[in-house]
Amino acid sequence: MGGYALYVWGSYAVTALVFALEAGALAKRRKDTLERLLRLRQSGIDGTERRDETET
Amino acid sequence: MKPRHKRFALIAAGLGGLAVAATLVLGAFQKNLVFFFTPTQIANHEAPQGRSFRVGGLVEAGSVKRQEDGVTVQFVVTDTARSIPVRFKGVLPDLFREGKGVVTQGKLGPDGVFHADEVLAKHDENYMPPEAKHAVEQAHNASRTLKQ
Amino acid sequence: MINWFKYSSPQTFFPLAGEMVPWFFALAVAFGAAGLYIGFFVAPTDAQQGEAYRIIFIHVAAAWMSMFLYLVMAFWAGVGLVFNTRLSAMVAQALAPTGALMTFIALWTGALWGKPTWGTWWVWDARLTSELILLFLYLGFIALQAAIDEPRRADKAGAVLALVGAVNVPIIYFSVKWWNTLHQGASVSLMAAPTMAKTMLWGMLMMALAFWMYALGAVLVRVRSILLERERHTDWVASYLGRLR
Repeated sequence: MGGYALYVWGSYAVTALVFALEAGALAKRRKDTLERLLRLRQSGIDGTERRDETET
Repeated sequence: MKPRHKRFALIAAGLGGLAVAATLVLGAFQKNLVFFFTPTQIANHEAPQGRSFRVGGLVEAGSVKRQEDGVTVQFVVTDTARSIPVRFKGVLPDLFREGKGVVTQGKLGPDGVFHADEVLAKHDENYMPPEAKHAVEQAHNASRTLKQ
Repeated sequence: MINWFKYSSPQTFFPLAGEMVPWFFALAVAFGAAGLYIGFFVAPTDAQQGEAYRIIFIHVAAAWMSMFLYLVMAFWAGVGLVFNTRLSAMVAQALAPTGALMTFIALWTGALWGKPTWGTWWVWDARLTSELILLFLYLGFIALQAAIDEPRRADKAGAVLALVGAVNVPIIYFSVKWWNTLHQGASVSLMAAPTMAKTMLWGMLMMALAFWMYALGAVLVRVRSILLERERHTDWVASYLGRLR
């Protein structure tokens, strides 16, 4: 890379890392959301009432 | 942390962010939008007196001279209308070339020489392989020879 | 005529978005592979900058997306504000984090490009400063929405911020024309022929398409989570959850 390897690969590596982290976070959010909603359904709360877990 | 406190913290963070953004905008409008002055502006006394500012332009071809100490460089910055001599002690960026753009920060001395403490290369928006550049230069030189 | 209103209802949009996601990610991978191949094996070394210029392929793609996603976000936030539609506000909310990441990538790669070429990681010129403000606008939008518990009020407040901040986008774009900046002018514009060698240009366009497709995929995945969360009291979410088991 003509002496610029650190700058070029530093750019590409961080970009790849950012995309990988976002993809991971999105998958986790989807999984958490589904698990939470399924749990709410199972426990008989259908979600019509707004419940804040931190206050109960 | 109670939800109320959390909400307050988040709002404070949001407002803080906006305040930072606003400060940056105002700061930028005050002085940084004039990122550099051209040699013509300096000749017209538009540049600030007695404090540090930036000069931008092209490095005049053939003007770069290295002093004997090996670290001090002298060159002329021009906007093709007016020019100003610059003296700089330090390492020049890779893209510092004669005939190419440069932005340099420092103070204007009473001798009319700009004493720079930072030199940045301002490259243009043209991207081409070396062979193409060579061809462009040859064509340019050819047309110049024809005109003369 | 296609009934667009049908697609704007959450229960029709949700499965449709789900079907589109894998396609967008597949296109992102395909364009990305093409872009990287052209960028590193086909495009020649630059006469001025040597190999350092190869950062352009991700830098420009990320910078374009950072501005484009903001405009799309402001548009949908504005639609939500005016027509009081639920889905458009959720789309705006889903766009913000990806837009912020694109802005971060543009700034990061810009710093790593600026150091070897200009001789500095950062300067407070109009282009760099306005792009940094874009990052703060995205973060401000995200923080503001997170701070307000009532979703509809959060949508409204966020929309106002998004619309006001949209002024910054043309400022970023034209900053290199309007003011003296260290950042160079545009190599590619609608009004003039590009000032780049053809293969370099193709690499850049392929990467821009890859980033665009990735952003579409990521935003659709996020909006689906937001939809489930905010529509959890509705029948369609209940039946969707029922079908999962």
